Amino acid sequence: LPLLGLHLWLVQLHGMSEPEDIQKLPAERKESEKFFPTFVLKDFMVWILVLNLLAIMVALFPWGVGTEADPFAPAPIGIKPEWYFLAMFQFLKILPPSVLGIEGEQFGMLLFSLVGLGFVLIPFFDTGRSPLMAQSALWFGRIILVLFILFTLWGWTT
Amino acid sequence: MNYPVWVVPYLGTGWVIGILSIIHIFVSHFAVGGGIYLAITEHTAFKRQDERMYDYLKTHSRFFLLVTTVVGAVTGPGIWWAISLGSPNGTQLLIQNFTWFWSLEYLAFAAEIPTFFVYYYTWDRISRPLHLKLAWWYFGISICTLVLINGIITFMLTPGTWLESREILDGFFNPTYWPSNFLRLLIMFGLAGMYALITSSRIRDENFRVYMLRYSAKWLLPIFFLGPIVGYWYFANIPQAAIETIFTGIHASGVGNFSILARVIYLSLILSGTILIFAFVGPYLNPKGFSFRTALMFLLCGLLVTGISEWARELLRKPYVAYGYMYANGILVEDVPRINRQGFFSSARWAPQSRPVDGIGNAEGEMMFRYQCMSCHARVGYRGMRKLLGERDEESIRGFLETLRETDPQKNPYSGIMPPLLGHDDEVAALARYLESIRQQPAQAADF
Repeated sequence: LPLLGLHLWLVQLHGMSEPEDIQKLPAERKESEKFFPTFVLKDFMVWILVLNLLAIMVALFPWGVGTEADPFAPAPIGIKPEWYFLAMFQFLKILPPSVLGIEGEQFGMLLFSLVGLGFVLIPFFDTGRSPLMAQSALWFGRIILVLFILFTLWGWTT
Repeated sequence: MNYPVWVVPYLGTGWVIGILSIIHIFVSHFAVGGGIYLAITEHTAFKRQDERMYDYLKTHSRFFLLVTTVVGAVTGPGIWWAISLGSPNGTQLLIQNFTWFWSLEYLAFAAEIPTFFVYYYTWDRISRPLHLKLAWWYFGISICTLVLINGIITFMLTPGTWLESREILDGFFNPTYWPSNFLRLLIMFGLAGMYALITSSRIRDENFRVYMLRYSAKWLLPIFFLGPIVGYWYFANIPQAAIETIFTGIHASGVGNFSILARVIYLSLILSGTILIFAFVGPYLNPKGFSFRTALMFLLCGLLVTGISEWARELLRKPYVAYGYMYANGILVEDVPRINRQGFFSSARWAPQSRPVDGIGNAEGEMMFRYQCMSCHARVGYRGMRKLLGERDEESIRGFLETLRETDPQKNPYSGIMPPLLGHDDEVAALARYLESIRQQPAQAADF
């Protein structure tokens, strides 16, 4: 992605290059077509052909996906999720089996959903009219961020 | 059983018939659909007195003439040869049953070809109204070939009440006769459009090229709007066991076990869907960017989807040639108890004349294999025995063959896809010995 970004930025900066033999041509002989929609549609046709080729290979020469998953098998020892789920994973680990009469993990999921909902509601809550509300929204974000970092580190090291 | 066996190494006879048929269907459907295309387009050209359209039609009809009379007329008789060698009992059944219909189809074919020659060679030589009449005449004759042969083809999957009545009209106007007629007609419209895209993409005048490409692309619309409805009508009339085979295949896909039928049906759906998108984004939305090469690739996709769909239809018929009447290996369902009682070799007319040809020396086992298995299984190659047998020894092969002898579906899980194995114990034992020897042989010897 960074390379693609760099490429697009350079195209914007320098413009498209024109091959020398095209440069030499008089203006009336230079042919061009619009990227959108002409070239995109042409490209799309090739994608469809390649998709068909892929479908043929998949259907006629299928390749197994390896050992079948067993949802009842115990998790491998020391397994950890991707870094962006580590904080939640760690938080769920430390929850007791039951909180306020709700199953611990369900309570955790409810809490995550509420935090997510909180972020969604910030633009409606902090409309810019009250400095107190703006500060509250900012502190909500800061606390969640710090907790996220702390739990991620905790999950990483344990 | 009443004929010698034609041995085609690696590929098997089924695929010889299959390859010829797929090419033939692709061309013969064009011969009918393209006839409709020519008639309707010439009608438009006549009404508008459009000279550019007339010029285009002349070019297109030359292409049509070459494709249909050369490829179509070669592959058609090719199928007759291949089916009479590959599936003589099935061919015998169809000829005996449909003598008159098949003769009529041949007459229609014999009239179709000269009509088109007259149509092509009378451009600018006869009046335009008369030439247009020729186009409609050709269209009428080519439709006759469809409605006649369709009764014979559909009979094989859905013989319907013919199984009890043995009345020829019951067999011809069988449960899938009408839906299949309409479905094929829609496919023919689509293929006519796809072929016309080839010739349209070569028109020099850009404005007219754009017009003709869009016009031809629209010929794919009927199959995509009406195809699902007619397709449902067709599937509602095929045998329940075949429907169950489809659903078993689809359910099994969920756990990663793709049956060949499910895979082929998925592929047919994917390719059909992408063809619609292709026709829309290519010749319809972007006719200027639709080159001759792209048109050829598009036609290749059409060939693939036709082939794959016909393959799916053939797979639905497993394990029969004529559903519920004759098995794929030519054995009649009603003969099963008799053959089991009398023994296979006392029923196989050609078996006593046979001698071992593979050097193994087990002629009896080899004949059992040839007559009962080889219509679907090559020794090595397509559905090859060497691969299917794996590491089984003679005893476990024998055990497997015992399962295949059962006619009760509860005891034989293969009963829906394979004919039952027939014969006395010693004949089955000879087959087991023969199969074991295939597994043990070095590649070249068993590859014959």
